[in-house]
Amino acid sequence: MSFKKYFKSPWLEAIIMLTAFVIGFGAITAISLASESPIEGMSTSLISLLLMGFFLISFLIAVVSVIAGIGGGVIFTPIMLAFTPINSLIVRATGTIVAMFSALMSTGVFIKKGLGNLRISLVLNISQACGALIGAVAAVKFAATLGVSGEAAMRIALGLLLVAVSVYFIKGGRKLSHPEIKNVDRLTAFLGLGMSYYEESEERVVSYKVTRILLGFMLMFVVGAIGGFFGMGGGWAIVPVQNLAIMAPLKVAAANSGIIIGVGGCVSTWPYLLNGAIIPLFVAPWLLGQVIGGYLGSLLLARIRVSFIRMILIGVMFFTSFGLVTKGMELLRILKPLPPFVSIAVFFVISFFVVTSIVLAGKKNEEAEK
Amino acid sequence: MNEENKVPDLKVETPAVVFGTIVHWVTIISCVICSIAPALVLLFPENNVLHPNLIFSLLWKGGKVADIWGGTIPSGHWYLGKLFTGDGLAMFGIALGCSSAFFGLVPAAILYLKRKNYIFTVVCGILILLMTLAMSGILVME
Repeated sequence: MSFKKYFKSPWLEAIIMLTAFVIGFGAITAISLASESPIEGMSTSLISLLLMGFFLISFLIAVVSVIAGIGGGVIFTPIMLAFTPINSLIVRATGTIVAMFSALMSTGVFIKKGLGNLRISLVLNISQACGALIGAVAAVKFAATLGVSGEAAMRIALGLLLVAVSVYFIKGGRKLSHPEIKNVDRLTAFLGLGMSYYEESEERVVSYKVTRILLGFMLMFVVGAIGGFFGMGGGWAIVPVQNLAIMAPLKVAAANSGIIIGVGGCVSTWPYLLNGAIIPLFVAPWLLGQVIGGYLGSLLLARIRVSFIRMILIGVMFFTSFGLVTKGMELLRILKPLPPFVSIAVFFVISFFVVTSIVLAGKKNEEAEK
Repeated sequence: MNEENKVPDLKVETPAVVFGTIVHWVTIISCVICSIAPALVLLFPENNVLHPNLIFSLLWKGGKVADIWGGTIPSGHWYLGKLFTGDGLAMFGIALGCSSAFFGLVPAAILYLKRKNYIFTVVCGILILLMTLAMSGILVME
């Protein structure tokens, strides 16, 4: 049996990360078993359980979000804001970390495969990063100057944004696998952004061009600002902007999205970090889950039916939107706190629609295969 | 052509490969540090900037950033002077990951310059400048 393969990608990275995880969390478990109850605050054993819980949730979010082709931030930030009392600035700061680290893990893989186009990504990153930085600075200022009403308005705005994203996903959005470009504008031609990649499903090399880079540049600023403000990566918007505005092939757009979010995050997290909104012990397990889960998700991507994961995610986003909007309205005292049975009823209604959609989609696929 | 599985060896430009490799491995180092640091936080609870037994109860009470930090938010890159504390090390791991693209872009810019691709040298330079400004705190409003 040859052990040489374990010293090469993807095994080497997986072994390093899993070894560090086992050592770290093994030590945490041992410490929690040996520790005494503190005089004040939470017990060490409960902290250990929370750290493990955060890691596992982050891991699942990363696996699911990589497979579904959206960033982890669009799941993490709304759920935490809707269902936990944690301060919104801390949630959004952690959301930026969650969004970027699974993207960073996919960057090297996609570039080496030829799917990720660094030139397109870097050009679009300039405007996306500027937008994200302004969004993050605005988020810090917003939190400092506006009290409860600001918190409420932010939650309602995010809830409505999530509804819009969910509707977009349901409608399927217009997607062009291999857009046909007749004319490339002068600026795009000057930048030399075209490239080639190997299309595995068709077993051929695809050479592509892009166009209208200036339009993509301007749209990316808006996407970055929204992502930076709400603590989300914006992958759900970055892919269609590339696919429909600059006419990049869909797979290339998806690969570039990871690079753009990762690089953009290396700009937009710093206002949060330098203002103390990143709490190290809280953020560390989320980061860890994103890196390990994102790596595993990119390896599993080819084997799992994406459409099923998407439907579950749409259900999660609708339920989270409901939580965000009602929580915001409660903070503004427009609504009284909802009794638990209302949330449970909404959950079951949404679950019914998700399960029905999955069953119908499964039947459609079976008929198509026949 | 790759003989093993007939996939053609597409030549990806060297600056891109260098960028991708550096980002990949710096992120993994960040991950390793964030695996170990929480254990150190809990093993030496008194040797931290934030007391671990108080953090989560304050978070769950909806405490603001200043409340979590006990009234005084540490400024700038405080963790560089606290690497032998658990949370200082954890913050260093997080900050390292948040700088991974910076470490990848610098050699990519140099390689584009060597290849006389001035456009992308400038593009990389703009992003390096943005990251430097963000990391320095100049762009952060008080």
